[in-house]
Amino acid sequence: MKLLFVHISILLFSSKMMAQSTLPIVAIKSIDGKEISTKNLIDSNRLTVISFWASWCKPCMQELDAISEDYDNWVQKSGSKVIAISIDDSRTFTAVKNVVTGRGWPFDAYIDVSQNLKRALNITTVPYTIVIDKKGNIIKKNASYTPGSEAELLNFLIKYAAKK
Amino acid sequence: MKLYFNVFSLAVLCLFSTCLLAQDSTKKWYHLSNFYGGIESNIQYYVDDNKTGSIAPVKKMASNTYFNLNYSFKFIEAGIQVENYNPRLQGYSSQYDSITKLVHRFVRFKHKLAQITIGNFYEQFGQGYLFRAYEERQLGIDNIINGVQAIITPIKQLRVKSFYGKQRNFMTLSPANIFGIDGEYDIANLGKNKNTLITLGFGYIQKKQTVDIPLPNFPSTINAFGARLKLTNNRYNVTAEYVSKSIEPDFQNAYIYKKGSTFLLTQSYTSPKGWGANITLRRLENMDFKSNYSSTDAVASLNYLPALTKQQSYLVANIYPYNTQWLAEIGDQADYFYYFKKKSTVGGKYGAKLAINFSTYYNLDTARIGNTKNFTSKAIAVGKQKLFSDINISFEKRWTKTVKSTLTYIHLYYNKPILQEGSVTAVKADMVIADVTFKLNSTLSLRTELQHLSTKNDNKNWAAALIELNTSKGLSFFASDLIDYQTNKINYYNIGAAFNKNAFRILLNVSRQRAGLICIGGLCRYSPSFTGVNASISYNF
Repeated sequence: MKLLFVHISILLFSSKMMAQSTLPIVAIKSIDGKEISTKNLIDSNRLTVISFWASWCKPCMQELDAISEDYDNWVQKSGSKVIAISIDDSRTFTAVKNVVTGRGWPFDAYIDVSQNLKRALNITTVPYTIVIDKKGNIIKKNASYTPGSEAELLNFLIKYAAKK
Repeated sequence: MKLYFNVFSLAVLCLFSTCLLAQDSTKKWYHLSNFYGGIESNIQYYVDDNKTGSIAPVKKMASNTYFNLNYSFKFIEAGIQVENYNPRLQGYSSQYDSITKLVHRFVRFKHKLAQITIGNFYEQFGQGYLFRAYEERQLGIDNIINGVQAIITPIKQLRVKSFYGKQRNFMTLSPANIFGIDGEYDIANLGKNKNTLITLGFGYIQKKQTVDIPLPNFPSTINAFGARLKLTNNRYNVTAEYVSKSIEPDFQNAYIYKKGSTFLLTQSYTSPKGWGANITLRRLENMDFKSNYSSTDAVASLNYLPALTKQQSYLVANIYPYNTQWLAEIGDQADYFYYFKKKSTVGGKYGAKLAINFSTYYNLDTARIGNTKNFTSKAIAVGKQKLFSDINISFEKRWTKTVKSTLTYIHLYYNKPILQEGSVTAVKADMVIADVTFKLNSTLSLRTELQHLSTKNDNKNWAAALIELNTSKGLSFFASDLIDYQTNKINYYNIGAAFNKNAFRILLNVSRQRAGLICIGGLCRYSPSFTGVNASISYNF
């Protein structure tokens, strides 16, 4: 057990020095059922926020609702765009399209039906948010959501965009 | 093995921390960014609890830990997963006990037209009713395949997947050899803008097993076929899927000689006017499909049979979870969503959302064959025994910039004598849940829940409350309590804090856990009651 904590401490320490990983290239589906490659999500003109969610996940809804309600301001200030990728499996994926429409989200939405992308990014729970740069490098990861943290994320995007 | 794990992981961390700090613009094979992975550990300290009668195990501290490390460079991917149960958490199978093991390892070669994996891999055919290998750590399920897999996309419209191997069964492999092949072809792309896609799919699974049971004509080869048709466009989707399985006696079906089948029909429509609806019909008959015919639990399933009911997140709504009755079940589920626009009468300044979900399940109309447990059934008829039904109505509205609420009403019928052994009465219950979030300032918010379940059956009425204080910096404090206040009067409390920063998350809590089914995706495991301190840590790199 002690060793486990030692490992975690070292991991945290090492994270400071870690290089950027890139968005894994796997097949996902649009909410209209068309298969696309994740390389199509990389936007060479701006930062892209990818939020992983599920139709049964309350904090996921809170996060995407919060971004949605302020999306115009979000785009204007940071120049970034948001993509919502559902990890719903065959139990619930039929509801995804209606949730996206019913909640009025203005984002492009996709479904990781086989959960290949979720596994490739080592995501065990949602919500989970990543930010990719214009080349597809992952420049930020958020393993959870608490109300108000979307403002922190927006600040990060503004500062990062200003630096480049 | 333990020593191997520790030495290995420390070596890897050393590599990350010190060896590869230089970041070239041209990515080399040894560059740090080619490595990624994560660690997740759930640690529990148990105490005796006179109120529930739960007794702490001899070894009071238990943990389940998962560590994985992957590598990706150009057309090559590779990875490992190591698991440690020291010992396993209460409610998990004793077959996980006190073991540290390298459970996954794979190498994958990727090309635009083909992908080949040697070692461990997950896969799904169709919606999983024929075949699905997946991991669900909270249920102790990891039915990954160990073997060889090829995925070929010769033309954009055609996708073919095939594999051969054995399935993981706890910390070993099931004895059966599994072969699978699945093809999906886009037969038409219709419409003015080619936005209506029709896709046809076929799948096949063959299980070859060594038979060591003294039953006559026990099959050593089981064949299962699946066919599916999908039509999708930007408003309407329909999917029909049929799966058939040859005669397969196993422990779960009491060794009856009977074929299995699944029929599924799903339709959904999304209106441009802000509403949407979907309906799913499903019939299951003897569809338990395991890689080990003598398996006594849900692990090592070859297929996925989710409960098609609303996935609940509130405490009182999870007291009576439905679990799929794969032997004989017929039913449906429907969802309806409506968005009340901003500035409408109901929507007010910020808009509002209405969601209605309905599901009902019956057994099949069956007749016993002689004195055996085997049976025949009518293809379309509904049986006399109602298994489950519920209706969920939820209304969500933001009242002011700082106050948002969700009101939920649930009516439930739960045939507990069938769905959970040892009960005598079915449960009819009504639930009301109020969930209100207050934004206190730009960095603090408070969420409260009040929940009530009313029933004259089983443990009678329940009440629950939750309070959660969240900061925008990722720190949360929470306290909740659930009580069956008319019968046992036991408080099932949960008090703790959680913190997350980037890809690191830690949760500490003190709780009294109710005995019952823990269900994820409609698959359930029984967890005994326990009381103690829990720590959960996860980190991705």
